[in-house]
Amino acid sequence: MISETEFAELSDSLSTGFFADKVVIALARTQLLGRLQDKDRPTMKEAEGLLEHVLRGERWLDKKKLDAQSAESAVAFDRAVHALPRIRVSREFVDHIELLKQILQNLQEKGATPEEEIKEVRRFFFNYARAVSIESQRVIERSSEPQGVMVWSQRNRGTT
Amino acid sequence: MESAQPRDYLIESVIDHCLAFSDHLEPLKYRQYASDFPITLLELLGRLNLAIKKKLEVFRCDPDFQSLEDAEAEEQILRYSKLYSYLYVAASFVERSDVPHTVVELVQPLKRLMQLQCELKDFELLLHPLPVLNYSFYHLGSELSKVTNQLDLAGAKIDFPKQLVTVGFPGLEMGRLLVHSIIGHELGHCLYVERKLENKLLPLVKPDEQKLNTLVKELAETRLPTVFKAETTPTGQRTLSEYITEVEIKSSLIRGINDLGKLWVKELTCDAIGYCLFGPAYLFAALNVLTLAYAFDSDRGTHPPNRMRFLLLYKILDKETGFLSILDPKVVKFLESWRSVTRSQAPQFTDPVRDLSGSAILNIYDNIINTATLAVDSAGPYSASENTAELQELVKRAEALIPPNELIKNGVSHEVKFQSILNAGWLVYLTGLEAIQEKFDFEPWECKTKFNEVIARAVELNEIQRRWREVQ
Repeated sequence: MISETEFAELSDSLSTGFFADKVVIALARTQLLGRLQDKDRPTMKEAEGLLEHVLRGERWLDKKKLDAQSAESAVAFDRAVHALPRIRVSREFVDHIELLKQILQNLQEKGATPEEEIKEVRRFFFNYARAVSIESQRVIERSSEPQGVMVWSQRNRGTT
Repeated sequence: MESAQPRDYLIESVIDHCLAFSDHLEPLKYRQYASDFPITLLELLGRLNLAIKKKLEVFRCDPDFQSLEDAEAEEQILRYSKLYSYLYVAASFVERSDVPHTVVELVQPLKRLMQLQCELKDFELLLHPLPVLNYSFYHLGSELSKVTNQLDLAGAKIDFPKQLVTVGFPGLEMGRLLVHSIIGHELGHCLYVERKLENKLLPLVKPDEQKLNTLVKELAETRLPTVFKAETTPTGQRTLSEYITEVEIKSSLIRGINDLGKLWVKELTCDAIGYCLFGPAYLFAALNVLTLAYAFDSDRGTHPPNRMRFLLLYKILDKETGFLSILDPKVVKFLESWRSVTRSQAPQFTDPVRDLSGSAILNIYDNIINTATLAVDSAGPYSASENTAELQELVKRAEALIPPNELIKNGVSHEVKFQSILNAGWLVYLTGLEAIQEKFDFEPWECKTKFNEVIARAVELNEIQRRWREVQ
């Protein structure tokens, strides 16, 4: 049995995961061919948008306003934190996300960027995809538990 | 299989999922459903399955995919495996919505209500039993679209209708038609999304800024339990942020407040919409279902505590002065007893995040009610007060165990509102049914069952009558 919230969580983590996979493939292709392909431009644009969401989520405490977008940004921020486990403080986190965003912008403008930079973005989106996979897995495992079994509260259980 | 690489082996295994899923869907097409729609949905799922299979087959020789690191390729293939858990759940909704398992009498009236009164022209509904004593809403069409849109299925156009919803009801209580009035809440979820009510309501929720600032500061400074001191710096003082990173504390808090605000506003608005759609029958059903499903002050789940929910519903009920004046003293007593429980204290919250969100939401109840009222659209909300004459006549029929599906005036049958049947049913049900029990010599449970059957017949006859009028 899967609850409505869990079903929505699963939809969201799967669709976000497929998106992150798409970014990883597009970056792999860019590395392979040495240039960003036109068909991958929309994906890069969306990837940049996701990073913007992450930054907006991180800045939420500055304004403390709830709306549909703030909820999405909060989720993106939390997932990005899990994708960057070695980063401990906000300033460092923001700097890193801004760096990734800058790399994506350069890539879109110039069609190419140093391989090390592409690898950095690719590593982030792979980790991001893995973070949402854990969310999907958690829902799938939870829903297969017999009813009535205590489920310990786990981090990252929120709905999106 | 020949000596395949691990990633090829994984792909092959997921393709096995596709084939098994295809076998699973096939016999479902030959079942009988309450409408034609489940067959269309099964066809869409079948086409999606085929497109995924094709995509996986391409992976084997796709140079881009083959250039991925092993861990990246594994991650991507495993996601397809997870996708099949998801699609299997979606198919199970269809599987359990066939005629023997659904409340067949309700499907068409609910569809009509949403398509005509609420003007969701593409609204489709599957009602399926759940193995728990609770109700659930799944925005299936929209959720499936969200996932398939990210799949890049090489030109395969698979459009799931966005207004396709499935509602799970407690399978054990399939025959308790009156209690199913709680489905108004689940329909509310559909309107909440379609009307984008979140955009109107969420910005009105303003968590107390000072409390929030204090919480952030305190969380960052919180000391670890002393048991950790031995392994720390010479000062022996470690803050929580050294154990869980500062950025983790921040992201958890921000996600917590946003998630909770979003969920609770949605659930409360769906309660208000449920009432607008079904009138007091919704409150009566909520008093039956919610008081057993959740402890009155429990705030640990995805829903606000019952106390918050009933504070809102009684606020709406109190506007029904005409209706309140026709109630049997037993019904008045019942309503007053729960009103007094609801108002006995202010809602209490068990942690600071819930307190911040919950307290802010309590301030926007009028906005929630107004927004819900507008959301039900052209015909406006069902008003029990405007239908008191109809209700009083239907109550008389129900008390005699005559299906309360119509009014007879001068020998001519007059159609009544679907919601009036439910409300009249509840008004009789809440008086205790003793008179009916005595008159027909029923056992108490037998009497409740028979009475629900009469209401189910009334809903069915009312639908037939309406359809007959429409085709003439």
